[in-house]
Amino acid sequence: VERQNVIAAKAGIQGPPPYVVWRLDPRFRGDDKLLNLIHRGDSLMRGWLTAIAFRAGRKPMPALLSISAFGWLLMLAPSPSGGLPFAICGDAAATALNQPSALLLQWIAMLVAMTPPLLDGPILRLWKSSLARRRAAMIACFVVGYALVWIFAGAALGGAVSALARAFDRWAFVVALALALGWRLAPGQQFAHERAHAAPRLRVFGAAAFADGARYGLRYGLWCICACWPLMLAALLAPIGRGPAMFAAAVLMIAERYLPRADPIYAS
Amino acid sequence: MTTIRKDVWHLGAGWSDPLIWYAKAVHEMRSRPFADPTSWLFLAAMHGFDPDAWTAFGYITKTTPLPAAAVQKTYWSKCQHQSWFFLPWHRGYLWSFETIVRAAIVKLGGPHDWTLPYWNYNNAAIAHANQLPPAFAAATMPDGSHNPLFVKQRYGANRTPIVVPKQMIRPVAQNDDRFTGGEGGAHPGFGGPQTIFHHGGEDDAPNGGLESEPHNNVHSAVGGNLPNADTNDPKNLGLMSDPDQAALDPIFWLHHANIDRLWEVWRNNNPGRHKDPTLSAWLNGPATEVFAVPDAAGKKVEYRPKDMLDTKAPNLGYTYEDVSTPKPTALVATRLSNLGASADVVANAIERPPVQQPAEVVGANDAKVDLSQGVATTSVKLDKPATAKVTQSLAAAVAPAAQQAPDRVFLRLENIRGFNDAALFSVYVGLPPGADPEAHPENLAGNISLFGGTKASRNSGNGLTQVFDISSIVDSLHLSGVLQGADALDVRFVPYRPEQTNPEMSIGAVKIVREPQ
Repeated sequence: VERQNVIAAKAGIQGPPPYVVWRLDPRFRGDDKLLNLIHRGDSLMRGWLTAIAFRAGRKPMPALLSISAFGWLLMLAPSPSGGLPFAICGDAAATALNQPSALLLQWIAMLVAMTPPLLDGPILRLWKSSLARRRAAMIACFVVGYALVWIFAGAALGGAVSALARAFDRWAFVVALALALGWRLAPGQQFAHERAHAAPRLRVFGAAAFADGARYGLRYGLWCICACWPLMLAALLAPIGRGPAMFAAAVLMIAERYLPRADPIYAS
Repeated sequence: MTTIRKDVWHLGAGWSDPLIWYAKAVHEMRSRPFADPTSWLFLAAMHGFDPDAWTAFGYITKTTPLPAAAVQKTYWSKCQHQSWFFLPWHRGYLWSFETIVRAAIVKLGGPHDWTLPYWNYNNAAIAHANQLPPAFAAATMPDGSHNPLFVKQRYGANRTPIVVPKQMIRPVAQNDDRFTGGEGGAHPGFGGPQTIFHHGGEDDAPNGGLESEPHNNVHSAVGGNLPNADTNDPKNLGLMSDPDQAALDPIFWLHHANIDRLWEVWRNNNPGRHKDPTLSAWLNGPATEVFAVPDAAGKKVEYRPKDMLDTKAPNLGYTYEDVSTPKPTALVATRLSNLGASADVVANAIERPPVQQPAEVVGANDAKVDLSQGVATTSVKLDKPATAKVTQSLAAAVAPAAQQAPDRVFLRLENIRGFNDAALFSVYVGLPPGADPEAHPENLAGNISLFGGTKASRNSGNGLTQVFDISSIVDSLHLSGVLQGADALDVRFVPYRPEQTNPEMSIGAVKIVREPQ
């Protein structure tokens, strides 16, 4: 318990969360483990479906889904350098042959396809928190900040893909997948995920407002990437073609975004 | 059979028979094992459960057998807050409680028609209706035995008797025509914002009108916290102050019976306008689970909001002694009269069906407000074009051929974070500099209670959100010419317990929002 408190204090958490200690209490484990597991899975599934349904019909989600659909179409377009469309290309070596500018365009197309449904919460918040005449500009600032982080992350992920492919050859995808699974269960992932949900203060007037919008985008992007980078690695290395792999990763990320809040594991 | 729930003040002074039977039943139910769904502790845990605090207060020990995890999952920690499920969930919860207490009373040889009394703190015919009913404050029963209705962890404002201040139990929610709302930052309505299953802490949904005042304020005002102790430790809070402990206090149930009654009062005082939601998401919600409570035999009874609409229906079978209020005047009528509109314009405005348009920000402060050290003031800078829209709307609404009601204006407090759920602040808008807030009740925008604050703030949560209707304050500022050309409005936060500090308590942003009608 003492150690938990120290970790909690380091993580900036208010006091020791008492339920963490109690979750370790054998009396809480109940007598029918299988039933508990089914019950938990079932309520988690329904909670998730409802959360998605709840958001799907409300502004701005329909617009974001349309933008996302446009992004998937872009990914099917032939590569400007004459290579295969990004969505079909599935080989890390082939990626390296493409020119950097073409790669950047493909990466941006992928961001347009994958990320809009993840931005529903922040965009609604920016809409609510801004002067009516500044809403569009505030959202633009946020998107620029968010996209910037992802573009830099793209370079880093590209490097990691090459490194993994060199080191593990055909097994690179399996390694990345194991990394993604391990990270999903790690306290750090949950910590990052929760930070991504934080609603920072957004000023309303002057240049400070736009700075807040951009900073919000940077922060949101950064914590998003912290939460999902191994999953992106796995998708980039998947042998099934980048399009289907990215689509599967996008579905997982959206699912994660709308999962009901869980008890923290990072303090235990 | 339909039973009648009665005002605790009409049962007779001090120890009335229904309260004596209630006390005996509490005593009996306290002796039942925790795992028994009809036990006092099990019923309280359905609202919320904090094992640490419960152990510290002696309700359980480290060896108390608990129900199986699946049972806990079905029943416990289900109270719905900051949500349009607040009223229907608590109605089913109260029904379960009353049924179980009545059965216990019958078993003890008491009346078959016992009903849960309600604490009407607004009863105008009683001199001190806002005072904790004396039977709950007495250490002993009339026969000298221990009084089960008394709990030590009930601190109020650290003086006796415990009184709920009148400015915190105003019937303001009764004037709201909408059950739900809040799109674009506007007021969430009488019953609360549209949410999914919402135990608190899921997101930053605002408190509904009735939930905020009187509900939250009564919780914090009665519960209070241990003086001269760390207010951020739940073990130093009064039971009523914390959702995870509140239902352990026998007064909780009389308070909630009154809140449940106030739902009936709202529906009754304007049947044409005051209607429950008709969306399936509410009637059949929340989609993730069916609410479940035990009946007198401890058997599971499931319900959805649609089952909670008629209290006289066989599944509920009760009614309230009094659901009348002095007929509330429609908010728009009061405002238009104050703004100087003719009787015709007022009549037209009342007839016009309400239209809700997207809200927009009119002004905002520029820094976090620190509430840790008592009184705090912040300046909300106003945007000229948006403020001009408000003044134009107020001027146009009183014109002889007016087609639109005046804008509604809200004060929106975002990211209210803190760990003392007992904290209470009165919020004043547009006070003259140096003015004594108590001398200006007309500038009172509303009251913040931190009830549920810990749940919403911990684990990097975004805190609570509170929205007050400040239309009448804005109307006055408009009439006195202050609003036109104003650069900013001052908002002052005045603590109910000024002698206390509340470490880490703050408000992220203070905004003014207009909603065209």
